[in-house]
Amino acid sequence: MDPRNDEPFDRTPWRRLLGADSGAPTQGVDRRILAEARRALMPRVARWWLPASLAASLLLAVLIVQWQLADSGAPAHVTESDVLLTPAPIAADEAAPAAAMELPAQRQEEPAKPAANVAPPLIDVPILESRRAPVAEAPAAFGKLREKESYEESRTPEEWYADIEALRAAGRIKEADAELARFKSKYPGWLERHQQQNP
Amino acid sequence: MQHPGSGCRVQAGDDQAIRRKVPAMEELDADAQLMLRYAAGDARAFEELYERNRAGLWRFIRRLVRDATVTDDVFQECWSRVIGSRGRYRPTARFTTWLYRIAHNCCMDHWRKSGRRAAHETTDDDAIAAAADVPASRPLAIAVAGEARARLSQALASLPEEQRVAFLLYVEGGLSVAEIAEQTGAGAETAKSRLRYAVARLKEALGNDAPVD
Repeated sequence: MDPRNDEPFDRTPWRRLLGADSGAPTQGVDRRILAEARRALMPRVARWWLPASLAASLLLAVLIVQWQLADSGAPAHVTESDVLLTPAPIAADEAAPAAAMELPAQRQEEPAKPAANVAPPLIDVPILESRRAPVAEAPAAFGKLREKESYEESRTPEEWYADIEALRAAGRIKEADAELARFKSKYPGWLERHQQQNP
Repeated sequence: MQHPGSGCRVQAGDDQAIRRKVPAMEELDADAQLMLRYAAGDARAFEELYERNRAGLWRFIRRLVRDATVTDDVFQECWSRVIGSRGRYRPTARFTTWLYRIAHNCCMDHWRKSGRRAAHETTDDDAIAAAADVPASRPLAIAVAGEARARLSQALASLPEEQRVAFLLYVEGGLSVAEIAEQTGAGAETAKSRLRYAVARLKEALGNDAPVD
């Protein structure tokens, strides 16, 4: 060894002796490393554009569905059970126990109402039919329901009373009586005053 | 003294104060040029770089970790670090110096994780494999060379780890004494002593088959 320089001995013969027939990485290892090297050169955009575009498509689909639901006047999250809970005029008595079983806890705690007050003629979708109807039809049914509810809430006592009279005139006596009971509870004394003013 | 690959002159014995600058492209060794081309996006440059260094690096790791499966893992980890560092690569020394430093660091990480093997362990897969590679039907010269390799592998495996690392970094990695000292955290004289003892032991094991200085 020569201490004067940084090359204590010649590497070449030692390297030759060590190098021959000492093995090498397998082809699988070679392939993995070369593939990693190529992958690392791919532009970053190419690595994230696919998952990003999928996520964007999904988000767009959700937004479109929400927009359509909002446009039809239905709540954003409509479930089949919500539709099934709508009381129907025909099967009100039969539907009540079944509906009570599916009600959320806080709604079940509400005091029971008389059957006559439970089933106003809100919607012409029998509950058994709505059970069979696919969930996709729910938004349309809710649209009708909301329209009727809105109309009922906004009508004057005179209009409501006229509706009751129309029901009675159409022979739907039971429904007219039920509506009249609701009317009296909401506007106590109005009917008496009206009859006094219009004998 | 010309610092390898740096393209700048430094005073002998002034190893701690090696000034490093990025040399011009034409001054770089071929490997460093390939690495820079790869960092610039040339995948073919990496293929060439890999082909030039794969066998030597694999042997280096194989002789340090002495297990074929672990060698593959460490070898792959080493190249992954090379690939991951391409953007930060600066050719302040020869490429192989940088590469074998990474490889040595990978080996040390492996030892830290798995628990260091006994420094004087004599069972070396390489030596066994080399000895088994010498069939009786081979010509005498080849058989003798095979036996010499087997003895060298066995002697190398029996070296204390510090001496083996220094010897392999010097012979396979092409690192200078100063670079070995820096890489192993030892002084230049210590590194030189380790090399001297390693060579003496290997020559003793090889007898007449030992390379002549």
